[in-house]
Amino acid sequence: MTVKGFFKSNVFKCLVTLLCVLLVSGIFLTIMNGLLAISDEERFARAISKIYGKSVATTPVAVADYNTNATIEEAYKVEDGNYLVKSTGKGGYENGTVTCWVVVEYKNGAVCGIGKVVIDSNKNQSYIDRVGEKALNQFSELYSSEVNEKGYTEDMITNATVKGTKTAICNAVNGALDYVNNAFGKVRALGERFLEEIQKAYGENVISVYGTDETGAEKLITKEDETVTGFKVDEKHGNATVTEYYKLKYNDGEKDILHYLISSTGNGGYQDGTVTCRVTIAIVGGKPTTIYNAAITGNVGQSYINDIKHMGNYSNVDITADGFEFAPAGDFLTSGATKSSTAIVNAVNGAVSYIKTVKFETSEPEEPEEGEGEDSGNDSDENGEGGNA
Amino acid sequence: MNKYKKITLDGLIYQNPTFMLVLGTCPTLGLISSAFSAMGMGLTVVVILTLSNILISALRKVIPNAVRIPCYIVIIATLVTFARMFLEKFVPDLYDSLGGFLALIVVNCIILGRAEAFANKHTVPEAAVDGVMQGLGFTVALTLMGIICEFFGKGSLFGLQIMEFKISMLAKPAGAFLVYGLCIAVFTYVIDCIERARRVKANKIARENLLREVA
Repeated sequence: MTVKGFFKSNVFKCLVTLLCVLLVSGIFLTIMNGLLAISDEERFARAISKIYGKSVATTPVAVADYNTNATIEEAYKVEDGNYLVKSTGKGGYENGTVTCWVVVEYKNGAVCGIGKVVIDSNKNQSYIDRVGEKALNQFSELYSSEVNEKGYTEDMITNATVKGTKTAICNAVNGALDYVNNAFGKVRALGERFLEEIQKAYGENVISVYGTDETGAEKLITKEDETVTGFKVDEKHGNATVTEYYKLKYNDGEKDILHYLISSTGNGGYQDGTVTCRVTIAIVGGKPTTIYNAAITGNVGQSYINDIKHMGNYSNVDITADGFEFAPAGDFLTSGATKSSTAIVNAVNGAVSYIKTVKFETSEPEEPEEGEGEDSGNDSDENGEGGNA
Repeated sequence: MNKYKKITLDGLIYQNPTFMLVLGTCPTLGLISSAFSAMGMGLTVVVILTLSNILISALRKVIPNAVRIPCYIVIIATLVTFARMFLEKFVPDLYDSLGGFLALIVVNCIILGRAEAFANKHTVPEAAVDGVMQGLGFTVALTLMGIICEFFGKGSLFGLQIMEFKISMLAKPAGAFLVYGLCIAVFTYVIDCIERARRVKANKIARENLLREVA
């Protein structure tokens, strides 16, 4: 075939037609892609609107993978304090993936729940629409500290009949949880959390809490402390063991006051379990005068510990000169957890018993009198030396 | 009969792609568990089918016979890609609910079938009307089955919960298959009855005319 013949042939005509169609299609799609492309900002705004129903302020945070079954794509700190994480879960149907936006609720330096899960995109998950809102809401409903530790499993999620897709979604949510737990769940120093907890009981008062350093010397606890250590005791007092105490100094508006925060573990609880309480006792004039308050800080095997409602009865109770002791069956101990109440009473009594053994070297200046003003502000010297420290 | 009227009736009834020609069964079985998805798929097919019919009809004298199928596929694929971009940009909910079935429109038998059987033999207006009517026939059939499956399978209509009672199987492809079969049976029966009635009427008129001529 000659060159001229080729150009006149049907083959050439076919080639040119095909190339023209391809070229026009390519140009058309390129233009359309430019016009209809969705920017990352638009995608993000859509996700936010799906989750919150309105626009919210977010700050991007650095991402990292802490779970081999998920990839963290993006993460944001939201104005409400929670974290919004875009996580891609692996292990879906036909080795596909599902990308979800997960709102990880975050409070006091720790993950405390799953706010919402919204599916963003997927690969190979033909029946993704079977996973509806009802199924996704279960991630919020089923959240617990155990789930936070072990993660969600596909069996936990009902109302969706697509096993592989559910696995990928669970992996995405677990990946988001692991990310926030590892990246932000431990950033707050123990000191900050400890002081915040103490501050709750004292309101707006300025407080100073003292523990001990490695040498056993008294040390002011700060927010930055990674380890917060009290003065060690480990003494048995009645049916309780006093393990440690902290010293707390604050001003009630008129004078500086010293408090002892004593950790005491009471025995005799349900099924021989124990309840640990932090009992705060005020020291005035060099001797314990009042139980400021008592709070449960731990327990062993006390299933009904949440039914205890009488802890307020331990507040502002005077310790009289002839001794003090709560009766385990006292009238005011009304709760649905009698055995746990007994352990609490033992813990409080143990703390009071302990504080009575402490020899305070100097007296607390109650009301500074005229001419003695130079001593009044120096309370750390006066009160700081606990006998057993 | 007016040719446009014939094209319309063929598209909607006598050559309905879903009930009579049994074409496009893949998206039909996959999407009719939700009326919204079914209607969305139907309307998307209307647009793509109409545009592809128009383009193919317009180019029928330019495209050599030997490469007509590759050309049709390129044209249809371009339109489907455009439709995907459009839906993702402006109707993201529908885009998400159609999932992989949206891309599969490229190989939908209805579109390629109408291009090959109708568009490359007819004028642009005729091809356009055929595209719209065939697409609407497909949409109506899908939406109807979507309503049935969603109502009985999920107790809802277009996502709106109506009742607690549901037969879950109907919201799955197996149930969709049953509903599809029943709908074909009913549709064929109705068309049969209409045809029979028309034949009886035509025979009666013919007999009367014959009697009149004899008299």
